[in-house]
Amino acid sequence: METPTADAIASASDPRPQSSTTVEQFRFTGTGGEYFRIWIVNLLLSVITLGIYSAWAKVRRMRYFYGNTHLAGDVFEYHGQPRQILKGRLIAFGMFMVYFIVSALSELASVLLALIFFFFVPWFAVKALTFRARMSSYRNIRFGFEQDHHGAAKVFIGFTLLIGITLGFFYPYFAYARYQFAINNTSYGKTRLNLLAGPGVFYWIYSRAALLYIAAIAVGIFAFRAWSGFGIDVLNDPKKFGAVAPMLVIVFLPLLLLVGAFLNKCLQNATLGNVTIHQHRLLSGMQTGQLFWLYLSNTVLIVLTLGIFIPWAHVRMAQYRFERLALEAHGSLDEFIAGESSAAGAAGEEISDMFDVDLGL
Amino acid sequence: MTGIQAQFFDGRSSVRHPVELEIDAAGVVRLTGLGETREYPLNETRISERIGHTPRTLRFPDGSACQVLDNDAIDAALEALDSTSAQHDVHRLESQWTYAVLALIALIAIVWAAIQYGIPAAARHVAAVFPPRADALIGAQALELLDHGYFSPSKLPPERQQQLRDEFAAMTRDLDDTHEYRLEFRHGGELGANAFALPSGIVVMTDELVELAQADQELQTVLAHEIGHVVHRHSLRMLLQSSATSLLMIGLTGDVSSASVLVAGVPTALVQAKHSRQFEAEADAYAYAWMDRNGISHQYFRDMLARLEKKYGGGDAGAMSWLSSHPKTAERIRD
Repeated sequence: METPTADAIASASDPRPQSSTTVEQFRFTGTGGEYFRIWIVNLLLSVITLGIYSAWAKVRRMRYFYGNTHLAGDVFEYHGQPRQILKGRLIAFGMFMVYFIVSALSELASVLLALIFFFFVPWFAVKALTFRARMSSYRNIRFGFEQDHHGAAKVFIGFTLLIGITLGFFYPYFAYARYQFAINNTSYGKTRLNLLAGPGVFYWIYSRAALLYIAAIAVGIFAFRAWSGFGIDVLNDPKKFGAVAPMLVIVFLPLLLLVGAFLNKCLQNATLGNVTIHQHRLLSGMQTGQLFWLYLSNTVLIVLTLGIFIPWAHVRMAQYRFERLALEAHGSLDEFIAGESSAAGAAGEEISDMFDVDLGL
Repeated sequence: MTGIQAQFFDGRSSVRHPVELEIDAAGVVRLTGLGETREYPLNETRISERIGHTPRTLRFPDGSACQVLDNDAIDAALEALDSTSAQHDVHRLESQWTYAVLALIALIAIVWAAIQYGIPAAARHVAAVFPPRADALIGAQALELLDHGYFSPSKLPPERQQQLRDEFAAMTRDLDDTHEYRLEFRHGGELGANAFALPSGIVVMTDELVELAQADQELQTVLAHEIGHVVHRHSLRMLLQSSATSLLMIGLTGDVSSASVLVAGVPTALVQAKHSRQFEAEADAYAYAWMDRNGISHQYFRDMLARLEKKYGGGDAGAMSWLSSHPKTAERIRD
């Protein structure tokens, strides 16, 4: 991987003599027990109010996670307002219900709706990323997002279509372009973020992940056959499937989590770990083994506790993510200037959440 | 009175200024340590809600803000001014383990009641909004798919088919809902002795079931059960109920990568099996009422169920089997 060193970039962009380099470690100070109490109250109130409170719940959850994320002595702050989130959720839910009813009644109409939705994805994406950025601040300086609709259309329509045309071989480039779009349009105050990684890194990541996936499936089939005495074609036999389903889960779940851990660790390190802002640079050092253990233990504990472990799982993920993230600061962090404030609606983010649009970040 | 330690940010640059913060009795927030002393009216200052031990933010009208780590100190200062507000109620709930455990118990009870009573009742009301003709849209392609994948044409003699169709027509003649009732025969193949109803009103019976019956009354009781599914609009209600259940489960578990699929998926499947048993009981009740009206002994239905059970061994005959989503036969033939 040939990315220039952070020092080289910093000195290229900043002609002044370098002041001291410090590595500021991110820290997450939330605890599972504390978050469990917030989570369960959020859930109860959301259920009692038929989902209305979920907007307030989201704000409390986000404020808890932001407020526990420390960098260089200060915490992040979430500014989303429950009412605007509720409005966004109602719009998203309305769209979902329309889609649900239409798709139950007519296949053709649902395909048409999905097509219309597809062409609006760039717009939702910009709105969602804008809302997320605008509602985040650090040291009372808000993040921002450039209204790059043209870039969004290129990535979310043009490149998405190219994936199909190239039978998937374009996917790593698409992934790169999506991260690049999300990161390079984001600013902290007036200062833009910049992604150093190029498309080659993503081809390298996805080809290794694909090989690992094939190997995992092969190992899984072999282990499953050795244990249960059945070939994988048992999937087509509903009578025997019931009896061997637990074995399938026990064999394949860890293998697939391993592939997922490898892929996510690579993506996180390649994207977040390659972001520069002014002369500073983020460093991400996730490791496959650690992430895999986290995924596996979280999954097992969530299943065994029938979901009660979920808040602990969230906190453990955040702890690990930030424990492996640092800012290599070249000089002072005092020099960022606030950008212009602008309004941002929550509908784009809620629609993207509801329809599972993957925005990359 | 000593000030509360706070970090001041002017909102224009990322410079941090350590300050001491005081709230005096006149409702003025005073910051010292910035060179000159700054004062802001408390009633124009927005103070963020307390969430866990995260820092509080005091946001001033000019866009500057203070972050305070000492939640207790800031709350004590506010309470001294009697500006306590309802916003702490949620934090109070969140700060005690007792409340958390009570909330968990309440949540389990509510979710259980919703699954047992709430969702089925809501689905029945929502289903009533749609005209019965709309039911046909739900399973429009179901018979085609089954014909393609499982069934072959019936080998029953046409006279026998016609005889059973006449009986079926007599059973559905008086139903004034707008379903179009029709009886179809198929050779079941791997589905074996089976009967089921499509939402439109088409009831399909396999040759194997007809051959298994020892009296036409036995077949009629099975048909009555299937008509019960159509009359009570179980397909539409199932669609509504399983959608509501999925939404509930997704809402409860949120998104925790792969684990959420297991956590949300397994209970959803269990709930669907439960709802499907409720529907079977309802269809049984319809069948028993029909038998009573027509002076047919319940024994025919019990005999038929017992024979199916004997042949297919208590619901282990495959995922699509007649018995799998039904209540235990012993339970059904008790009364």
